[in-house]
Amino acid sequence: MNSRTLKEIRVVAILIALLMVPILITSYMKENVLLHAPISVESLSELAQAYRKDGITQFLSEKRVLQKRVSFNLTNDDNPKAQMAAMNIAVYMFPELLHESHLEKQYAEEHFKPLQEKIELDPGTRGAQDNFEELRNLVWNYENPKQNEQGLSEYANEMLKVYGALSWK
Amino acid sequence: MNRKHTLLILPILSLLGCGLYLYVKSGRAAVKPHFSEKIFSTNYPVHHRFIEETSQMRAHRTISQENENLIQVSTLNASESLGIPQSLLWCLMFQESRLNHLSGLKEGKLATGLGQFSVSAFFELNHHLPRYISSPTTTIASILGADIRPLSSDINNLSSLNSYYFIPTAVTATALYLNNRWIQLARIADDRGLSYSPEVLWAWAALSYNKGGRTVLSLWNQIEAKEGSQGLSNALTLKESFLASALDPYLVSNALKNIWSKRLLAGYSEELITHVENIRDCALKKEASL
Repeated sequence: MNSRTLKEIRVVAILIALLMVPILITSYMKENVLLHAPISVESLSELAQAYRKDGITQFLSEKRVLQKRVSFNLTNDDNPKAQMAAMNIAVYMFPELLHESHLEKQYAEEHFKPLQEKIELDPGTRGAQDNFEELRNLVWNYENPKQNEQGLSEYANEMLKVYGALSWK
Repeated sequence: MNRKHTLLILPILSLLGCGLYLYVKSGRAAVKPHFSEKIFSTNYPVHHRFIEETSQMRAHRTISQENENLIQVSTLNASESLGIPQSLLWCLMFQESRLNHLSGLKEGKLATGLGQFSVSAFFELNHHLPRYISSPTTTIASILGADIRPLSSDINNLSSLNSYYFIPTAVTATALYLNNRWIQLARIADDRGLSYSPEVLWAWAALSYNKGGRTVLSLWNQIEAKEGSQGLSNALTLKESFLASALDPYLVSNALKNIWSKRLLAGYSEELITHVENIRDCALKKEASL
């Protein structure tokens, strides 16, 4: 390899490196902006929309992103509102993220999560609908066994809408 | 220190470490149901306001002698079989329906009957009992002589053994659902190594029956955040601590604001405290309640 080729390789390498810097910065910023984006009950509605629009693969991908956001916001002491939203979403979607001392963790892990996983595995089937029926009854017993006008909390409601969409579509 | 000494000391230290770990671990697992002070009254209802109310009900014939006796006998049978304090089971049904086994039917309400069963309660008894008791058929048969499942809410068949509007079945089903709440809470307490009195846990289970497990667990989380694990264990062990926590409007409201919107929070907190007051005045021993 002559010196000219080596020089060219060096220049290309430098150019690639220079190109990578903004890409990496953008990617880091994007991830950071995503984590810091406001989290609320609407984050669950968006999940249901993702499924309706783009199917189960996109739903699972967006769910993973939401999981990261919930994990970040659970310890975000600067924003108590986001922290409370993260706690409620964690109870109904990601109980594994709750602190060991959180007393709802065990119940949510044992009761809600297995049914949700079964629905995600086989959406839109009779089996998914049966699992959804079970999930729905568990949530009512957990939050409002009298099923009175108080209804369910908005987080429980939205979670049921998400899995209702997965089960019935 | 020479090498020979080090070689001797290292395994000894490792053994001591292992021993300490096992000791601590077994100590944690040993935390189990605490002493059981009897906090529930054998005579009920306890408070004169409820005694007066039941007299009025008899006088106005809102409950017949026959139905009252049937409820009484069924309560005795179910509570003996499941180990539920009899006064608690009776008072819970008194609070839910004023002992009207057809309560809510005419009005077409979602929750009906003696224990105000809703669709989700029927679902639990018909599908989830094995999650709580090992042999549901034997347990139910020991109370009623036969398995009553599938429990039915069919209003055209009120005297059928599997109808929730047949008094012995309603009392048994209510007792089973309450028993499930106790088991659910006990499992969580066991898992966390929290000590508790089975009797005090029944009072928490009655709260869970009426307001759901999430309400109770949120209250427990709040007690622990405020008073630490010892404070929570006290609330599960001592009737005074239970009452102090469950009747503290600030604590209740702080716990529930994590779940309910501002619009619903005040009403829900008030309902919960009234429920605790009613259980206290109806079922707890007088010195504990008045």
